[in-house]
Amino acid sequence: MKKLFYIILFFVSSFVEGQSIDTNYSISAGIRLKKYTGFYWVNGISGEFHSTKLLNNKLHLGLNIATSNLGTAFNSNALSTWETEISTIYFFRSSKKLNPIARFNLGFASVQIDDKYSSIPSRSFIASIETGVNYSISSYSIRMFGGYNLLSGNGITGLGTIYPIYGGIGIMKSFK
Amino acid sequence: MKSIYFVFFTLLFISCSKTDKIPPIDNAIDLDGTQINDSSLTYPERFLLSAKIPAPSDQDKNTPVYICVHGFTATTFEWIEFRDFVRKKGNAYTSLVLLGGHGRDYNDFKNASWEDWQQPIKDEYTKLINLGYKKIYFIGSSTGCPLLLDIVSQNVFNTSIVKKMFLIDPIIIPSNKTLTLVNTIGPALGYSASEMEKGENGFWYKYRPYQALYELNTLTQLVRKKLEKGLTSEIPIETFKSNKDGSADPLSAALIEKGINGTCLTNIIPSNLHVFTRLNGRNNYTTEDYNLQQNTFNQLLNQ
Repeated sequence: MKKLFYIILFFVSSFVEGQSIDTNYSISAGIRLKKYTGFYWVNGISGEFHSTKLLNNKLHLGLNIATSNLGTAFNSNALSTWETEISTIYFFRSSKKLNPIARFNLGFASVQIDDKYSSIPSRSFIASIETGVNYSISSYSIRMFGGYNLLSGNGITGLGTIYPIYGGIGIMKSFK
Repeated sequence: MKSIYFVFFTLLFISCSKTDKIPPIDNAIDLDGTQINDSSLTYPERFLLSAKIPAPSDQDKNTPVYICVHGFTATTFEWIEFRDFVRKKGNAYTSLVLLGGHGRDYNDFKNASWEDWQQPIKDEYTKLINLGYKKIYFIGSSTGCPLLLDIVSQNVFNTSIVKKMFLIDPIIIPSNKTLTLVNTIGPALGYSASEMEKGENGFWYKYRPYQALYELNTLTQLVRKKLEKGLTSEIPIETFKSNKDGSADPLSAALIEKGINGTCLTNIIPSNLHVFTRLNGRNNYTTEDYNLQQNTFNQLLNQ
């Protein structure tokens, strides 16, 4: 888990360093609420970076950190799950307020279970493709999305909390 | 662009259309057909204690009774080996319940709700209580487990008589996660065929109508949500879960342990069999599988 944290830190810091020489960048951050069909709400935060140098603002780079502790497991007996993803997001009609979007996420998921379950997978890579629409109002944007997990888990060769289909909404605020 | 609309509307049409495809049932060998039924329907006294001993003695009433509940598409066959094991030991009784809609034919299975599956469990329990039995244990396998947990949540069990509940390879979340999509893709599929080993023919349904899969999904979702809220059980629960169960996700055991408010023990079993306590009908099993089965039977019986 620590390794993943450092990789993400490196990924994010690379952007921050890049911003000092690119004055046409923009960063945004917000919340992402995701529901697996037939399973948990997994909610968290999301950040994005885009620049005129990345396909003229059409390509965004993103980071999602989400947990069921802020979703179904909040104040319940549901399992605590964590998901961390880095993303590339393509915005169609980027100059308009309403944009169809396509997204690819790659990351890591885990579930917190007792040691007695050590022979059951408790962590897994995740990869998903996503599509949706984004609507911008001033410095805010709201989006709806649906996605498909390419690596869903059966509890033997993959983490059993990763379901194939999901949908959700996100609210982002642009800071520059 | 037109082709995208065509694909979209075709998929929408398929998902909305109510097809009722008839599977290629072989009446001579398939339980799904109209010729083969579960034996408990013809000879209930060989399976149900209430039918075997309709007027129990005081000694009978004080003998422990194990009500055994099988899983989705299965029959009483799933617990025959345990019944025979208990008979040899001679210090307890078993009562093997056939779930509603099971052990009959495809149409019965298709038309039964999960509440129908559950009803014979309640019926046999009520009969045994009325006959005066004082020590009742429940054993569920696979889908039998959420059916039992749902009854626990209804508070209908007499907790001074029901001593303990054992869950063998319970399903709360399925291994095949596409089960959750049955509402959408089920009508287009009509049914799914399961791969069956030769010795299992005639004892399990081979074809699973989407209506039955829908019921299974409804039941597991319902019980999962009850566990998330906290399912209070005054009856001690003990779970045995294969760590490489390819039908019921092994995390189901963790969901039960976390969701039960009460005594709940979990045993993780090193096995790749779903319902590892049933070996009859399998093409192959190892000495380790046999030992696990026998050890577990002893554990169930020595409570």
